[in-house]
Amino acid sequence: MTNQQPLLQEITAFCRLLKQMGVNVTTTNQISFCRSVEIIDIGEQQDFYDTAKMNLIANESDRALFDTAFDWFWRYPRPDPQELGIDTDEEQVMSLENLFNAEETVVNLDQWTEMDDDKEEGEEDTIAYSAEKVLTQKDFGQFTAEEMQKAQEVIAKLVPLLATKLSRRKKTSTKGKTIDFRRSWRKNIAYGGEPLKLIRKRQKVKKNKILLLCDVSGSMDYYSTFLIQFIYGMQQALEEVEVAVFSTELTNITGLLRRKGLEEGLREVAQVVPDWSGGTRIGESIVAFNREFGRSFSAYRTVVILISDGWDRGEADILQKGMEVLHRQAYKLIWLNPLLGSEGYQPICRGIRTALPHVDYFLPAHNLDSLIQLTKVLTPIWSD
Amino acid sequence: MIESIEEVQETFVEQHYIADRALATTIYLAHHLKKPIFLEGEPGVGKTEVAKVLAGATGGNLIRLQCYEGLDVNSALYEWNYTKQILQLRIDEVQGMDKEQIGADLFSEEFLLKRPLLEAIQADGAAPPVLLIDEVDRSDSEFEAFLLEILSDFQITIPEIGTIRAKHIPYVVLTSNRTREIHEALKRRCLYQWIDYPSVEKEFAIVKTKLPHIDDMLAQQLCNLMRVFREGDYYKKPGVAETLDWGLALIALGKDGLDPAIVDETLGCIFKYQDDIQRARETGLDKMVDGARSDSEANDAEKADWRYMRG
Ligand SMILES: Nc1ncnc2c1ncn2[C@@H]1O[C@H](COP(=O)(O)OP(=O)(O)O)[C@@H](O)[C@H]1O
Ligand SMILES: [Mg+2]
Repeated sequence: MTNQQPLLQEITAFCRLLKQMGVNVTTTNQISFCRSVEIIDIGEQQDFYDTAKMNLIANESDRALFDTAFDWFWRYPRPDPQELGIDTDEEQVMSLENLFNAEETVVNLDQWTEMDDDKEEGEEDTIAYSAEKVLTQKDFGQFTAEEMQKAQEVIAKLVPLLATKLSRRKKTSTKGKTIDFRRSWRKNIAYGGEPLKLIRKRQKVKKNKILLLCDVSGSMDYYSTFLIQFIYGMQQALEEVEVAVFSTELTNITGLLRRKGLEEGLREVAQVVPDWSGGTRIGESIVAFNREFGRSFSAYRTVVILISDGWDRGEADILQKGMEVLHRQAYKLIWLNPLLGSEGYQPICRGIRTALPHVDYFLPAHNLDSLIQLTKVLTPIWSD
Repeated sequence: MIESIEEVQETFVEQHYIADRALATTIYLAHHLKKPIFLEGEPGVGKTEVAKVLAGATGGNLIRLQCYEGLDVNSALYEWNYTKQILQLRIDEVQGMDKEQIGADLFSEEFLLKRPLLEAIQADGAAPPVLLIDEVDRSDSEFEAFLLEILSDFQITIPEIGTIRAKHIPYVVLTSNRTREIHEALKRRCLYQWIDYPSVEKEFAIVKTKLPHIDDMLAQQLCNLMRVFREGDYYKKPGVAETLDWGLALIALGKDGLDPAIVDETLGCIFKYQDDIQRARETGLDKMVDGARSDSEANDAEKADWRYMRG
């Protein structure tokens, strides 16, 4: 019994450590853990670990945090606090000595829990657009003029919502070092990274940029137009967007859209772009694209979104080389293919087969739903 | 059966359930501390089955409350049997009962329709029942508050009858597929256990215990390929249920190994959505099947005794 006492003290200190790291351990949890420890054989390390975990965390997403605390705390001799990543200069520092004091020292717990990652994830699907469901699932290519109008309205309504999500992510991830303490901590652990010296030495993050490369040959101009509208709608959240279109030749239309505005600009594009809705030379266009936007790639963290059905009339090895270079330079390369939305589609055409190995994401883009899906892919990339 | 963690594992194996040590520890502690268990994980990883197996192992009754959107307290707890009450009124009248007496007993236990929670609290069998509150994430969050209350004191007050206290504290297993976050307060009442997709070795053990006639090599290849599929980017990743369905189909087809053609034909057992099937094809079945086959040779040697494996 007497040598139980120190163990109880240790348990209390361990729970306090977890709390300071932002895990909401309750008194009941703590008591339950103590009772469990009387029942299991604490000589069995694995059982002790499992028991602590099932009593003290109630979310798989807290696991990594728990593991770090556990590995550090239940080791003898206890390693240097530095290994826990505690920056003792911080204002919001947790003082390890306090762990063993009777008084609670929960530092700014509210502030930390306020930005709990998990809560944000839960909101993911709360956008209500059920009334427009039919519309969001219909292929752009089959829209009547009236539906086209309606779709624009849906986009206008939806896009700001999606954009807020994007920018909110972005904001929390670039927040000042003191407030971001817990989040970066969690994050680092999740990636099995260095023991947590990250708080001060955060790398200067490059600005994000989206480059749209749109195929406007044949029926592709429909889909490309929707994509451009969609992405432009989110421009505020996306910081930097540039657009180039191609069928046989590449044209950068960023300036045109800026000068004329989106609506007017898109109407005029058809006149300035040579061979609009003609044949396709994807490879040559990509090579031109790499040249045109070469500087962007080093100055920005660039996400390239390429929309095309992959029907290429150009040379296969040009496409192959172009994709290789593009993939190397871009931070992420997303290929949108409206055909992916059609039943039974298989990427057999040569263009796609050549390009696929160089693509990070291969996604549909034939209706609003798939564009919404695209933002879900973009969100984590954005806040990386 | 719950005298040690090993015993839990062994009893579960007898019931054809492969429990890793962490889960067995949870059950062992739930028994001794009389705490509910909260199991969270993707669909098809074996959460619901835990409650069924626990009932089988302890000899207690399985009482199931399946949650759904709009589930309210009445359907979970009790309702009055109006039809029976009205009938009783008629009978009383016909029998010429005293005016004063008519309807006096209408709100007694006889007219109570017990729903799962009341049933669990009133159970008086030899062993405590196992109360399965399945897929809590499908209920509305107000319902969670109510659950929290019930799970705190295992008693119910029915105004017309009085307070009913549980004779045995039931085993309680809550599950969530995590389609939404359950409030921490509820989860922190429980012993929390996240159930992941099984490792290849664990899944092999599951397949062998559920489909004892399956060829070893086929089982191994199947599990290897399942892991590859789960690493892929699918809308709905296949769970253990799909593995077992698929295994059954392959046995029916008389297969003792995988080849791309048969996998292609039976993709419908693995994926529910056409998009996922298509994606699997696009990813290249040949290569995946090849990998699964060569892995199976490598892994053939290490078929550990899963009962004693550590999570
Ligand atoms: N560890 C396991 N041992 C034996 N069978 C399992 C195991 N895990 C899953 N299964 C089987 O997989 C199927 C799906 O399990 P289920 O409990 O319904 O999943 P969940 O409730 O997590 O969605 C069931 O047939 C179950 O028997
Ligand atoms: Mg289930």
